[in-house]
Amino acid sequence: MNRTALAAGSGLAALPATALAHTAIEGIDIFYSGLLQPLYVPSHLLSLLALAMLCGLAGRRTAMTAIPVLSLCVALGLAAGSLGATAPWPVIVLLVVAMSCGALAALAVPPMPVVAALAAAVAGMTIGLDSVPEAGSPAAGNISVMAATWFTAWAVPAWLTAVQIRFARPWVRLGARIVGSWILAAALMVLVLALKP
Amino acid sequence: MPRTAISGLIVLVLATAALPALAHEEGGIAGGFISGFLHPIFGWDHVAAMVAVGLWGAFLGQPAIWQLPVVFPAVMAVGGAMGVAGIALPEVETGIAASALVLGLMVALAVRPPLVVAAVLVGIFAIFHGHAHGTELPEAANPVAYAGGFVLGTGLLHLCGIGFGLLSRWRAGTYAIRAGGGVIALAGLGFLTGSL
Repeated sequence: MNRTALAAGSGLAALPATALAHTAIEGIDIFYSGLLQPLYVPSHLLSLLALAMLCGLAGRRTAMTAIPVLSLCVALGLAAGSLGATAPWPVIVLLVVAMSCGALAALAVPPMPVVAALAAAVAGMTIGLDSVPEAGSPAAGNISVMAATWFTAWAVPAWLTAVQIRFARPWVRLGARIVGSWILAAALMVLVLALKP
Repeated sequence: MPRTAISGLIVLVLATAALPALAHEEGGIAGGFISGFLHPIFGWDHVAAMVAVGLWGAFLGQPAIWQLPVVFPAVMAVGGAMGVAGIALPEVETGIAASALVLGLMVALAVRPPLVVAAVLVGIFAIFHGHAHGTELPEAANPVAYAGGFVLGTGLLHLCGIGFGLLSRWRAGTYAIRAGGGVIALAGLGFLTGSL
């Protein structure tokens, strides 16, 4: 199998996961709601996409630091949230992460691994804390729902990062920079709106 | 661009275009995303200018083909932030119409300035487009989804222009691109004079 076929296959294979958003919204199994939670909440999705673009541009070393940190911090956030902790200004925090990572990706400025890890930690903790099912909802206290959320929150960015590193061609880097600039634009405007007095 | 590169680019776009699936919900996210996504696509003045950016970038060749679509949304965000913050920008609609006229003329006349000049010109017009989008952002059902939608819609219009612009590798394609630039410039003139 050549690289093009592999890239096309992996891209197409990922699409059904997105299509599940339709059924989850219509009220199917709560497990899928948990699975789709990071993709369904725009601020979560923007920050995860931006982090993935940045890690992919920065390379394997940075990715191998940031993605495990993201995974760990989402788990910690979910656990802390289950114990009653809440995320302070989750939308603003995630938009700042998205804007910062998007700007670095657009400018093709690879950060030091520790900087990417810090962004991953902030995003992971915030997403985890913000993704705990509300008390009284059918998913409240359901470990499998939170496990599904945890999985999506790190697996999707990990997959996008891996694709970029595996197919490390100039056009891939440029595509990631373009996506980074899109995220920067979206995050900056909403951030201004959120902070507008 | 090699065939493998085009295939890979399609994969990357598909993979990162997960956002549109969010529109299936009829609530705030759908309202925000759909209206944001359609805002640049159903505004012909926006369409003409966005396609012209992609066309001009492709016509200028590497690295402009990718640099201009990176510059545009980044600068557009500044204009959008001004719109959101309520900072007035004079003659926004005139600036948008002028962008179609000027960028169309750049393509039609095959103007090849240094990259930095092209980037500054595109950036100036991006401010006007961003301001128009940003002004509507506070009224969106879901501002994050709206912003994601219109940025994605804008980017896809750039890609349309780039796709058409890739014809520049052939002589006949170059003529077609320049003719396309002429059509965009005429449309821009129509927007400016109010006849369109």
